[in-house]
Amino acid sequence: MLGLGELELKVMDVLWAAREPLRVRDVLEHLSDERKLAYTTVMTVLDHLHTKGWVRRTMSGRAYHYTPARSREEAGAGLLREVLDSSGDAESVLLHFARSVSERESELLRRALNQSPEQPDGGPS
Amino acid sequence: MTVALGLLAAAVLIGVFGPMYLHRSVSPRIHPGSALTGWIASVLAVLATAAVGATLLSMPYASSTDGLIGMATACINTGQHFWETILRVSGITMVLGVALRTAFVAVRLRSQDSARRYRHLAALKFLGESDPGKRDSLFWLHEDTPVAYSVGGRQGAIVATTGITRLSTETQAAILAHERAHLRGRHHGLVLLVEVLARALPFVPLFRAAPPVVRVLAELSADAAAARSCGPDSVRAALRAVGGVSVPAAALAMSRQAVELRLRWLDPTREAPRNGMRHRAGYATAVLTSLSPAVLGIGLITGFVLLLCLSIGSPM
Repeated sequence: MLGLGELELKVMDVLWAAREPLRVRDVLEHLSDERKLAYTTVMTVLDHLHTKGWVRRTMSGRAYHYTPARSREEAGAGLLREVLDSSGDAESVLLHFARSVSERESELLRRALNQSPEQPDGGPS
Repeated sequence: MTVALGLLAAAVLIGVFGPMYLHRSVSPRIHPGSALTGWIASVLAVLATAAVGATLLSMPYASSTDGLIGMATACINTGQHFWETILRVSGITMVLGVALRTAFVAVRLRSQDSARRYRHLAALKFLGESDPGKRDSLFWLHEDTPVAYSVGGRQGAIVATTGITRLSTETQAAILAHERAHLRGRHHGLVLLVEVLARALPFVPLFRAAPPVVRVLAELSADAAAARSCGPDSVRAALRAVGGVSVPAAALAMSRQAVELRLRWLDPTREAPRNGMRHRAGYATAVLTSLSPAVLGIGLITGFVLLLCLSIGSPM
């Protein structure tokens, strides 16, 4: 989803929670309580996120400082868009309320209504 | 042999003619939950009768062959067992092929499904806010468009946008009840099952017809479940509030129309309050009704063979 892996999401999570631009070292510090990651790993992840347009970076002193390019809410909206775009798709694993029913499915309902005798407005099909 | 042929006949009967009579179950007069049960029971009945029938048929009679020598002698003597063996071997090959193909498609779709689900849940964990203290995992996404959906699997989840909180309490409850009904009814799994069969064995009319019907019936029975707990009016309000907002403009008219169609299933004059007993009785009836063609198939073949035996066995 969103083209982000779990580690990338974790890094984004750190950046979203931070109020100021973070260096690779700072991101690593915030992540370190879960799993010991190498400095270069986090650097690579941030580099990928930059390439994908998820973070902005500015050189300050001798290190890049990273800030999120999209807010958490925007990312959430993107996730939702993916879900909605996949509706009516056989590959979709999600069932949603008022899903846009496919043409074939609407036809099933229409036919069923036309067949039931208490529905006089159904008309012949 | 008789039972095996009867089972295979039952599988063919339900697999080929099933869609004809099962389509009648998609009707406002039949509870969508019962209709869904009927479709799924029929699909499972085809699988079970075909598998058991084929297995029985593939086992050579113990009485007619005593090892390879006996079989060979019999073959030389009459030639009858030769053809029977050919028939059996080709039958086994066909059944194995079909089973392997189904297994292959099932594994592929299932792993795709769980990979997508895993990624989606991972994204939700970071992008959504979960409600602590709730029994089901419920995630909220910050988004003005009122939308709700559910993610299946062992640990299913419901996702709703904060846009929903602008709707009335009853409407919100109806939307969440609908999604919870999807999870409780294991609708994601049922949709996946019929999707696998439709792809693996599209030449079976029942399997080809099942996916859209099962999807529709899953929606309708979740609507019915929500109507039972929150009242049909709340579900109606929910469908009107959410329907159509979530689709691209091109599909909007179609989606509105689909919502209008779905509303017809929520006729308050029809939706009498049901108790659990009647509900379960409805499901049992649906299962029994959908299994009756199997009984018919076995009965017909057994009767036919019995008649044949009697006419051969009786002195002229």
